[in-house]
Amino acid sequence: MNFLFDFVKGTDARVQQDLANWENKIDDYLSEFFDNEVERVYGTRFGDNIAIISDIAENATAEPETFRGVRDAEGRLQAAGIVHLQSDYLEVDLIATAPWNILPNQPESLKGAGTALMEELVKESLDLGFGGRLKLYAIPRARQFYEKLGLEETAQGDWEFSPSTAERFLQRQQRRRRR
Amino acid sequence: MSEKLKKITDEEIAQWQEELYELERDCSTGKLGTTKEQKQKIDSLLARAKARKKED
Repeated sequence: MNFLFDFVKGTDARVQQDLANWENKIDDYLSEFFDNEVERVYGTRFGDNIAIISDIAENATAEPETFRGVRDAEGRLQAAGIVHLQSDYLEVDLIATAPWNILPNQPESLKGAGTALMEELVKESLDLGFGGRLKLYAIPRARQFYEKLGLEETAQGDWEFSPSTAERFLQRQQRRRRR
Repeated sequence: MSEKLKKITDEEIAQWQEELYELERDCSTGKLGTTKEQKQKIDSLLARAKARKKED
């Protein structure tokens, strides 16, 4: 539990519906903001988000146990990811914020979902006995966010939370909530 | 490390949160593949959405 968000593990019918809703909204946004000219989103923040959501939706169906997400108080899925358990760390293959969090002035938009999902994944890593250790691949535009969270780039080009940096992140989150 | 963290003030925590929230729109990440693969992923998603809307 994350106060503002509920953690979701695994794909069920509700998650399938949530992801279908994300996809339908993306189609609506393309019409509203891009005149249905799909080529205008290629290589943009929104385009990257769509491509990652497409992967998440496919993985959530093919491997339901790999899905993770956070829902807000209204029950709306606000961020989602796909994870795999490695021998001593949690591998985060994909992370996406809801499409309305990308575009300006959307009524469903909510800050904090990506951070909340990362917090839950660190806690899951702790529960698994991995000491909070997790790794992900950060696309260039995402690096600043993950660096600000406290992840560090590895020699292989991945980004990781070590037990110490994961603990520091969780402590900051606790401090933030106590304010 | 806890000692080190205690030295961070509430204001610094507040600033960290604000900066985090500013960057959070870019939290979506994963291996995107080539430009062609990205386009295929976007097209697949849109095809699913349009088929769903047609059914409704």
